[in-house]
Amino acid sequence: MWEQVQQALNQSSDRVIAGLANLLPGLVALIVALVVSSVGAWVLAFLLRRFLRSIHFDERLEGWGLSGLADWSPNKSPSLLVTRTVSWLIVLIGFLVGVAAFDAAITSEIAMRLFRYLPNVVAAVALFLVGNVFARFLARGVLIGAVNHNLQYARLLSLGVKWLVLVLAAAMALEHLGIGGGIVELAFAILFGGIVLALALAVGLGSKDLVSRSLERQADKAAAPEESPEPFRHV
Amino acid sequence: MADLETLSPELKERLAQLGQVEIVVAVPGVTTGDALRVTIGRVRAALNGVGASPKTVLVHPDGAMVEPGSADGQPALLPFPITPVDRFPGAGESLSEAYRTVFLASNRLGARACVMVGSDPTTLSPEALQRLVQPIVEQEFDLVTPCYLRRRFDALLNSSVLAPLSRALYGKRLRFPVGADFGFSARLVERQLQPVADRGAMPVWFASDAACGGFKIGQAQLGVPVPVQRDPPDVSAAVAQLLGPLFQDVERNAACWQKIRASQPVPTFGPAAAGTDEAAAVEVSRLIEAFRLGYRNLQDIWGVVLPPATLVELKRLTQLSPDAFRLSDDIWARIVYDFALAFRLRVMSRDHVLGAMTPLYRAWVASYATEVRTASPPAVEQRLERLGAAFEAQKPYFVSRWRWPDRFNP
Repeated sequence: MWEQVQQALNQSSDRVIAGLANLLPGLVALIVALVVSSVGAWVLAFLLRRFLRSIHFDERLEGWGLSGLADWSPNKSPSLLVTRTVSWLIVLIGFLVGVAAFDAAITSEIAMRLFRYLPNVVAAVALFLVGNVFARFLARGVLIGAVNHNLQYARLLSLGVKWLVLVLAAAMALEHLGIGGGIVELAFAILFGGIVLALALAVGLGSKDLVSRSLERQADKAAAPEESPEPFRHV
Repeated sequence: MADLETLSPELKERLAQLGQVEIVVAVPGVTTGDALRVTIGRVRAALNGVGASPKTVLVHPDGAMVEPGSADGQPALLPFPITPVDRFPGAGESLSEAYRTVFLASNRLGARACVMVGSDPTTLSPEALQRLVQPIVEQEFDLVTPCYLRRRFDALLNSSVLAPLSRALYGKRLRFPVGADFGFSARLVERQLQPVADRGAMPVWFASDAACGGFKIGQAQLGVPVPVQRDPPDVSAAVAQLLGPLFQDVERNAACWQKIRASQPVPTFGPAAAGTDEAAAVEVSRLIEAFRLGYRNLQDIWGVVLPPATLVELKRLTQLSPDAFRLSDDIWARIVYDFALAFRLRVMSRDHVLGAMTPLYRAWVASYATEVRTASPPAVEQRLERLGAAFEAQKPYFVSRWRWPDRFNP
């Protein structure tokens, strides 16, 4: 009987040791993949940073009206944001390669799923970033235009436009990530509609006097067409 | 139309028939036969006093025609596909094509002088037309700019920015560096035909090109007010469409204007006609309110463009009553220079830079109107002379900021 126990113990030890021996190459492969991808990410980030500096990427971005991106970047430098994003992506890819090296069905499946999901994540992040920059650009344009047209609620209008675009960008990003599904659509519709309604009410109530004055002026103009012209000529 | 090769065979034949001419006078604003008849008479009278009957061609839009035989002799007529230049260009439009077409025709005809009469030529006297031609034909001037009657509240963008900035940067005291009526020499026409990157909608570069190229510049008293633009744009569009090309031009000529020190008066042809500029009670409270609205909302944007000292001055300005509302010339000159620099550095979208300048321009108009509304015409002239001098005095500030935009921040 003791022989049988000893045999069972030996077999179990063999199985554990064999299991460990099977796992070890995968673990080493994971570490190697992480180290290699980290080194690769560092080198690529270094080269990319130098290249972006040489083409004055930050200044060019401002010239393209994307200066809002600086507010979302480490040290207010969009170049740094791009290089860090790229380097972390490479590390992540290295990690997934390492996980897949375990050659276990589950880990492989996870890795494949993550790989399939990665484009969605990248697209969602890109969508949100572009939406943010676009929102700031539009908000500034609306603010300047509204001020130049003497609209007292210029800032409110600008904020409304900014949040409209931000909400739209966030909803699109979440849809890409597959988070929330119908709830996101519903929330987006409620938020978007709410902002539009709030803006319409604010503008409508705020410009009540403006509209009545404008109508009065139109009526006065019709009654007295020879109203004195503006004394200032700019061109 | 900017290429003679695209002309119809009839026009090419007509150009060949005309052969070599002395003077080309272009009148893009003439659209009817009656106006063309009057213009022919004016040009004929003007040319009587220029040299020994120089062979002249009158270039007019092909829509305006007179009956055959009624315009025999001088000047010869050349119906040409030219577009009017008395209308402020809309978004995406440009006046430079109209000028280029005339320059091409003038160059092809080998003219010594090319006169562009952009305003209504029937309002110009023969003497005024003569003053645009004579300095080029007889005194070898290269550019003759217009000198309109200055009414205190006319062409305010010219008075506030174009004329003083042009004077400070290029060293020529021109009253109207941008206008509708010019005289050009063959040399300058040739230079204008050289390809240059996009120059914007308004032709603001004649004076700067001539000054930087060492061309001889004069100005002619035309005895008429500034031509009224058809469909004038609102203030912010006018600021953007006029100052955008101007700032582009400043950027293009940076190597030239940094070397120029002080300014010189330019020869003026013809006597200054007495104007009808009378004191006027104008209401500036709306302009001041527009500026205050800008200050309340655009501080973040102005903070990117203007140094802190200027922002402090602007804050002080918001607290002044309409009667005491004064924007000092030095501060205004610095503001213009700072915006020109922001335009060059693209600290934000260029449209936004120009848009953010409109409330500040309105503040200048309010300040200027408060000062000159009851002043005599000579006092108005002195006021604008002081503004030009202030732009000159602040030029070292601009040069420093231009050269070291990051280091120099007073």
